[in-house]
Amino acid sequence: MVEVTGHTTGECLENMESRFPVIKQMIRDNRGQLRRYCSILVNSESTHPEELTTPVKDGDQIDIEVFFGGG
Amino acid sequence: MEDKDGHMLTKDDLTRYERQILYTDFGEEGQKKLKQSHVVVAGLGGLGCSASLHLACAGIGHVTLIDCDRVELSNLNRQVLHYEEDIGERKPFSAAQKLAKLNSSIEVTPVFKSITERNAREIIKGANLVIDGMDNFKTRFIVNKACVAEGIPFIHGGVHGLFGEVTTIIPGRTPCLACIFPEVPQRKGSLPVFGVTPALIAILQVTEAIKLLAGFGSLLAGKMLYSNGETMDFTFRNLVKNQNCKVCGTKDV
Repeated sequence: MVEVTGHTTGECLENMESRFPVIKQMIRDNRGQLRRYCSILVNSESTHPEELTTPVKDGDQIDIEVFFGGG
Repeated sequence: MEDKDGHMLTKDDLTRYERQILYTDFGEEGQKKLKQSHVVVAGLGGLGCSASLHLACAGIGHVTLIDCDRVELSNLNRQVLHYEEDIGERKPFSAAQKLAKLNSSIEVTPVFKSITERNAREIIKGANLVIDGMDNFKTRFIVNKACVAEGIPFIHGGVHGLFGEVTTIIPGRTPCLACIFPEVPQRKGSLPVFGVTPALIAILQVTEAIKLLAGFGSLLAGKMLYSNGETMDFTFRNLVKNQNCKVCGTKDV
């Protein structure tokens, strides 16, 4: 778990991605869009379909779930 | 050597499985449990082929193989139980033929059909666990729901390129797939995948299956293991149970 700053889930993710580039590779496509198999949760609640625009406040927990769907 | 249910290890069993029976926490009792077990492998692609291969090697007594596709040339970079001569053959039958040659002492049931909302529970009913060998989100969620309804452990695996993931879902105890993804993720087109990725993930799924069936070790229960073959990073993520989950959050599933 890491602490990040931002007013929305999107801002917080950008903050984290700048510190951990490998995360960006996993959750963004070449155009910078969130990959379809990623789910963003705030305090264990789904943010779908506002994955990158959900407002957050101090103390909120953001979880990134990545779902690799191939077999 | 015979147990109360009439299951016993034959002389050949003791020889074939000698090296795993030597494992202290497993032994002959563990081998008997595997012999008494029925595992359903849902999907005979990259994951399902490698998983069923090692289920057969380990001596799972009954393995059901289900898939609705036929073998294509483009499958052969990763689906190790299908050979060039099998192109056009039904995948469950192609795989079953190889497993029968590998281990004739186990029962292998090939089922050539699609898994749907209507038949999923019937397909898995009575199994000790289900291995996720599927290649799409929609069917995974159908099987996840059926496993929760039947109370059958579901060992999920998924791959993308050199990335993979695995977790063991135990109904009533761990989060299910729908806890993690309330909406079925949408996907278009084929995914990139190197054959080594489903092979790696399938081996981990079967490792979980052996421990779960024989009753030793610790499981990836409530934890997702992510593998990144590009960087060789292996990370864990604790999964959160969703009390409002549409599948396992209520009793009416």
